[in-house]
Amino acid sequence: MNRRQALSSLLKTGVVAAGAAGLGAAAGYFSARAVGGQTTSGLETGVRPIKIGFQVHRTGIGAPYGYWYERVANAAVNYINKTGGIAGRLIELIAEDDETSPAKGAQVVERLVLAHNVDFILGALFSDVVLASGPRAGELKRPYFAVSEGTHVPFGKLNRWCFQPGITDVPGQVTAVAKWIFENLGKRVAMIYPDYAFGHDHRDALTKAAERYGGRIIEKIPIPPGETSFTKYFTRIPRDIDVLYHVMVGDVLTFIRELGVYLGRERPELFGFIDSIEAVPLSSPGLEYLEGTYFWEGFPRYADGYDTLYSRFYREAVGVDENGADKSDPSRVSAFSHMFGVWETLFVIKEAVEQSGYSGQTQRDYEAFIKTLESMDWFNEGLWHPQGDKLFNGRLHQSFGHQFISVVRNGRLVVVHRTEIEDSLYEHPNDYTRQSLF
Amino acid sequence: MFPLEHLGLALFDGLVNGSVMAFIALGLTIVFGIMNVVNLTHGELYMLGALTCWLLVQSMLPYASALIVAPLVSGGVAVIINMLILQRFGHEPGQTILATFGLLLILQQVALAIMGPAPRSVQAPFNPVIELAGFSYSGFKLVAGLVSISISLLVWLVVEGSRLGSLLRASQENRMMAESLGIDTNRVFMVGFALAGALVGFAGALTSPFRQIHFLMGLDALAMSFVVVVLGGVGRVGGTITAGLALGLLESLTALLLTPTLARVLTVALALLYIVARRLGAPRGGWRY
Repeated sequence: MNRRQALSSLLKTGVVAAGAAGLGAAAGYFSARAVGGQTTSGLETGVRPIKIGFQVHRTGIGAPYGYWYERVANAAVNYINKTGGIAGRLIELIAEDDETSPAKGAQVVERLVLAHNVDFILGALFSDVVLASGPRAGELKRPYFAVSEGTHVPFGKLNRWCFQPGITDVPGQVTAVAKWIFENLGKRVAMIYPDYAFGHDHRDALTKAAERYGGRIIEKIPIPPGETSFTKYFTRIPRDIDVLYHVMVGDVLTFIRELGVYLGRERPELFGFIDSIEAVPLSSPGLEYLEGTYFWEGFPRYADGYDTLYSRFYREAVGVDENGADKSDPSRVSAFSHMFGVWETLFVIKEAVEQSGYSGQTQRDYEAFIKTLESMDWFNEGLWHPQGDKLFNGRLHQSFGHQFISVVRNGRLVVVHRTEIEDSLYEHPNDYTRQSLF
Repeated sequence: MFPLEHLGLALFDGLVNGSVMAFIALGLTIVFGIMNVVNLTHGELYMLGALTCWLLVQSMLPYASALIVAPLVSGGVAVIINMLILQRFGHEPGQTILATFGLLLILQQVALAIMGPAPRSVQAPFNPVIELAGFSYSGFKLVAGLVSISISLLVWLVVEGSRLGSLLRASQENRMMAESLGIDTNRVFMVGFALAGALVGFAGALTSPFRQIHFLMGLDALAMSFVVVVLGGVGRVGGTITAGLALGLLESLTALLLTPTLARVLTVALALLYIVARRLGAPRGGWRY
């Protein structure tokens, strides 16, 4: 084969690869740009819209969440734009796929700032993407809002430009539900969790909570990421425990099925985090084993779990039915326990812009925006915060809120307890306000 | 020390998982090991088998129908990939890798568009829980393990002892000579691709009732298949079966003694050591299966 032939065939293969990328974009079936379904002109003639960049997990392992995060973001932007925008300006949402990849995530942050000149960035869910993106946002001096649950924001692993006001973090969630677990299900607990940052946050938080509430963690069973067969690890579950605490990502359906076969009906109480089955129908084969077991929920999947005027409005706005599924496709279950964080974050941005008088991308405006946000300490429950009111810690850049505990009954999640905000509070020495902004 | 029934479960589960692992890798042994074509879509053909199974069961067709249709779909796609793309490059490694990587992305996105991003599952047609020496085990998974090892042994016999195996090896080792002897090497490669695709498609349907179906599930299958094929000795079907069983057992037994992640690291490290040791010529007399 001569060089010309080689080049020709390489080009042909390149077409295949390019076709893949193109089809990938098409299969994403999301619009890349959305101004809430409206035109890009501002409410006031000639006023530049507020540009919010949006890092979305459209593809990759985070895609089940990404679909719903994007849908909620578009719904919130629609609502804000129809009701006066932010300080009289429309929002222009510029969404880009980060492929749930840390490297791509940092690139997306760069593109949003350098190519699209966004004012703010609505960030990602997966910890590794947030950890790679936050530092770049700090270097480029753009406020970055994670909707992740990870400890990277509150524990000071990022920088003063990174916030997590729309969703509570894992230590807050675990601390809140641990009290109920130890008081109601039993003191002797074994835990199964993924062996990386997200799982370690659970391990550390539950271990601390056990000390606080007189519980005992009898066995910790970390599962390597990417595992597809679990029975071999179940032999480590002690016989004499009261509760098996489980939080899994990845091949969750296999995990539950194999757990069911291994433990059978003579099982301890099971307490899981909804993350394991988020966006998964409870009617999926194998999940019948979960009947009678307990779950943490961030925001109840079923409407009767927390039926308020605000939650009904929010559910309607994002197109989710009373069972937590897509109104137009009941088989498509939403990521209801997490996606409200996107909605609430956009309203926090609106509130901070309007209170700070932010008008453009100047040092003075960003300084005012960030200091205003850091001075906030409470978000009232309402249309802007339908999941419930929240305490915001400006030093940690993190919100603390109510959590829900549900039991699986007749194939549905039924809320049995709503924790108080105080139950989720913890101490941490981090203080972002001491960092310089510029 | 662990109770004796845990050892029994580890041995049993290791053998079943190993059989399944070997079966999934079998198609790659044929395409990569014997035909020397680096087909990165192998994992996606596995995913297609599982996806086909899910679609059929969703359409209220019996699970058994998937065991017939899934191999046809994955085998058919493999043939199309070979005929329309890889054959035109003469299976040249660099271009084959680039092309199959592009196809891998295409197949993933097609699956994402069809089944959505959420994981899916299929109900096993039967699933008695079997009580064995102090532990319980999924009856369906046990049957899947037995089917996997049976088909793998059958394929071993066919590839090693039949004219098809000879033709595949001859076409790869000296294509020009094979063609000068009147062998239509394109057709031989086509049969090889069809067989490999059908096998891994069948594996996708077979494992659907106890594995989560997801548009990214092919990546793990591809990685593990390469490990199994290389460990077993490239081109040796018997070696692939032995390597699958050995890896399954090793993972299960180390998980009894070590933390799960350490067990995984140790398993892969031992596999690598073995490969390096074999490259260095140890033990004396070479490795035979």
